[in-house]
Amino acid sequence: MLIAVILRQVPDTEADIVIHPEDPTRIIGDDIKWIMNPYDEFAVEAAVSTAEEHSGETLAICIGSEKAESVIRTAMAMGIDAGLLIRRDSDNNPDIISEAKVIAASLKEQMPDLILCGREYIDTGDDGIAAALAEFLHVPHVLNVNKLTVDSDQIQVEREVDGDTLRISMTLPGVVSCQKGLNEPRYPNLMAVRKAQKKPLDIKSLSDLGDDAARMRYIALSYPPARSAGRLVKGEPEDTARQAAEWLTRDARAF
Amino acid sequence: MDHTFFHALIVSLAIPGALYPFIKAVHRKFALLQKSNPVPDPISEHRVRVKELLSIFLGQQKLFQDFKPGIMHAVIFWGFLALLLRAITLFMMCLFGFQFHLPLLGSNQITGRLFSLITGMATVSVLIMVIYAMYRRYVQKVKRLINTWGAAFVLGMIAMLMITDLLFDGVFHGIRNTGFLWYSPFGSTLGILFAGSSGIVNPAMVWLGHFCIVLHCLGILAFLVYLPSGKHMHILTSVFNVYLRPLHRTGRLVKLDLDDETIESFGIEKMDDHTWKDVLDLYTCTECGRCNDQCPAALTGKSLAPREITIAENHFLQDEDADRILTGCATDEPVKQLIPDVVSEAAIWECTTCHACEQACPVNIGYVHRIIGLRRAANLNRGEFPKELKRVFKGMENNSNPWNIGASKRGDWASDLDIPFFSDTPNAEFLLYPGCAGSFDDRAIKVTKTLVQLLRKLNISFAILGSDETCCGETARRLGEEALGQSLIHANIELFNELGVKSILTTCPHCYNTFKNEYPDFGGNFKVIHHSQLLAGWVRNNPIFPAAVQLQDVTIHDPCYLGRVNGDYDSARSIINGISGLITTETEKNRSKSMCCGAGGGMFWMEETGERINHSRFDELMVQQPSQIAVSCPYCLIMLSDAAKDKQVQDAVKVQDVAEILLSAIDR
Repeated sequence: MLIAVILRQVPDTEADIVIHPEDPTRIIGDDIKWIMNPYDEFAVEAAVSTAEEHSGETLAICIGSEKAESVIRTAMAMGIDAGLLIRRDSDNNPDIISEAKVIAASLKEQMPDLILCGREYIDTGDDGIAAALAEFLHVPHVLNVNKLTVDSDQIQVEREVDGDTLRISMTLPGVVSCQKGLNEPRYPNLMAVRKAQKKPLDIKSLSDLGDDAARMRYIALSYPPARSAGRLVKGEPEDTARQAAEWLTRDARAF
Repeated sequence: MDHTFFHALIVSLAIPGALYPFIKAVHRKFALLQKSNPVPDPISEHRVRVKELLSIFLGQQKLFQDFKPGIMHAVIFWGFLALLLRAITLFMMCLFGFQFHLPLLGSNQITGRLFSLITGMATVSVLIMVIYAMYRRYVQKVKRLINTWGAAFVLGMIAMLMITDLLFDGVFHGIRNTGFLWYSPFGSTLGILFAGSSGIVNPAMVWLGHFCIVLHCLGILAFLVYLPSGKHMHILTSVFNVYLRPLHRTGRLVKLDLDDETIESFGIEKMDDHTWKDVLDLYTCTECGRCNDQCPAALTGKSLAPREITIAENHFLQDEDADRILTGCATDEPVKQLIPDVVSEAAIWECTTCHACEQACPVNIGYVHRIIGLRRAANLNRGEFPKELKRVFKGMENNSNPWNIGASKRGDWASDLDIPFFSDTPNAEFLLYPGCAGSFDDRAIKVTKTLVQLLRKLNISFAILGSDETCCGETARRLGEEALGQSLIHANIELFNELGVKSILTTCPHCYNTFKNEYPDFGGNFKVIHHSQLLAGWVRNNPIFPAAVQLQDVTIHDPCYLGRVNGDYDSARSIINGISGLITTETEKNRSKSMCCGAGGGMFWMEETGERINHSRFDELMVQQPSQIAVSCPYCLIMLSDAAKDKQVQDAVKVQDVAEILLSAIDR
């Protein structure tokens, strides 16, 4: 059984994002910490634990610049067997469809039984990679999974929808996007980090995989408006309650 | 009355009969030591070691930390030293005749008479102390003592040895009709009693005398046979264990060579991963429980109890693992791992690395580095640790602080204070390094800001790193994450050297300790001072007389890593005592016996089970109902403030850093 995981490298959730002063379509990426997209960690853990259970093999695929290799190495330290880095010179772009197309092309030679990815990229907010990939590969997909069991060519998954739990059975091969709660991703220990350095990593370029250039591009990035200062009400409880109520009804028109 | 053929026969047969199993058992123990790993440091500085031998071994210094049982043990110990020569004499008397005496120790020589006086007193004193020991074990039922058959056997045996010696001595003097002799107050008095008014000792009593000297000798031999099998092995090993203590290792973890690709397992995974000193520690444990009595985890009912780890490891080594290690044969059975086969996994994650157990141990047994060794194996080899730590490690890795707050916000506490950056003012006297707590925790930031005000009042030049500052690596290393810890340390050293940092002023004793004691192992040599030391130096020359003097009791809580680990108990006290109106009150657990607040060793970042350590410590500090508790560590500050809030007494007692107390006195 071959399980593939799709990864993306994103800025750390706490990183101070600075838009490039000369090129407003991108951020200054050199001074910040880049990490594995947090949702992708659930996918890696699911892939590794499933492979351990079914003596399968695992492959991590990431589109990114040179520095994205560290994300693949992290995945390898978590137990992924092999990696494919699809080189791109810029940081992330908005065209999830072209990304899916490239990844699908990379899987032509050896189609995985199961493809896992995170439910969303936290940098661009895209959540379309699983569906797009399934479309290009002509396989089924299921999104936002928080429970996954695999038996040979079938998987049973669960996903939460508005107060209900959907239980779905899907025939492999197929694509699954992973939601928080699916598992507890392991911490790469030192021994595993060392072994990861020796695992096979294949590097290809976008053009190797027939990228037809993104059909979308950023025009400009801008910062969200700064949060305005709060309003402080002072005085006795009765008085402050009245002030607050007046402000909510009259000024803020909350009701 | 003299020795007979039977005395000589019994004793001369018994000696080889006892020596054979004794030597065999000791040889096996010695062979296990030889099979163990080398210790990291050379055994040097013999002058220091001899001093420790005199105070800790001969002087029994650490035993007096628990005073009454300390006296008991010391009297038995010193008594035994004197009685060693007496025992040799008694053996020789059995073999060669009762007139035997060692050179210079004959009963008509003054040295011999003094010796006789000393041994007589020793015999009676030891007997009294053994009765007291029995009282502690079986009447008082002191909690920390384990009542094994071995303990009962040894106490009974010592009592028997003393009684047989006295009775023999009594009969010996009775027959000779010596009357009272000043140099044998007990023996000669018994002699008078035995001889009675007739002046002739009853033949049955004479037989008793013969019986006693033989029984005494056989008793000593039985003791010898028993010695290597139980906790009384300490009689043989404690002298070595005290002498061979790793000096300069308190608060200084052994650096692991992470670049050596041939190492396939780090830390302590199995018995063979111990050094010979660790194994000697196991042999030397007397199971007295003084460590447990001081351990914050054991005191609050957690699964960690240092003594129990040592006992479990020792039993496992002796009973199960020794043959495998000695023969070196690979069997089909997998080698047993210490966790979970011998030590519970939960226990190693409950250690605050406060070193109270090591301070309490009368025979210098080391604990903290062994627990860290077990953590290192769990962490580096297996990636196993309490799951809440994952976020902490990721925080340190990605944002260089355990809170995982954005690294760019690290200097925000100083944003309105106009403090120069070190890169702009490389001639500043100090690099002020507030550390993670002092940069990110609201309560600790107040202390950092207070210190800034004080430094300005004192005209001391300083600068900060702002958002370039990174975590010192102390906590990562104590949590067994050596790789992360080392990467933080290397990054800091590189930055400090690049900027030309010479002196670092810390607010956190953990940063202080790691900069001072651990960074040199990585090539980082900086002068380090804790803010309480800097301020104390100033207050000593400039006592504070506040305009409005308020009489207040201040209880001082000694942080582990300033006090026990670095021996500084006085800085905080100097500051408080230098302020007119403030009176320091001391708790029972102060100075070297100070109880940890519960935060050290990364415990701050883990879920705590059972009674909370900070609550327990807080209650102890409140016994004298002080109006203030003075600390000099941000983690102690947070833990004890939290305890005050939990107990809803935060208005009755102020938990403050010494810097805050000083500033408010200056401003008052």
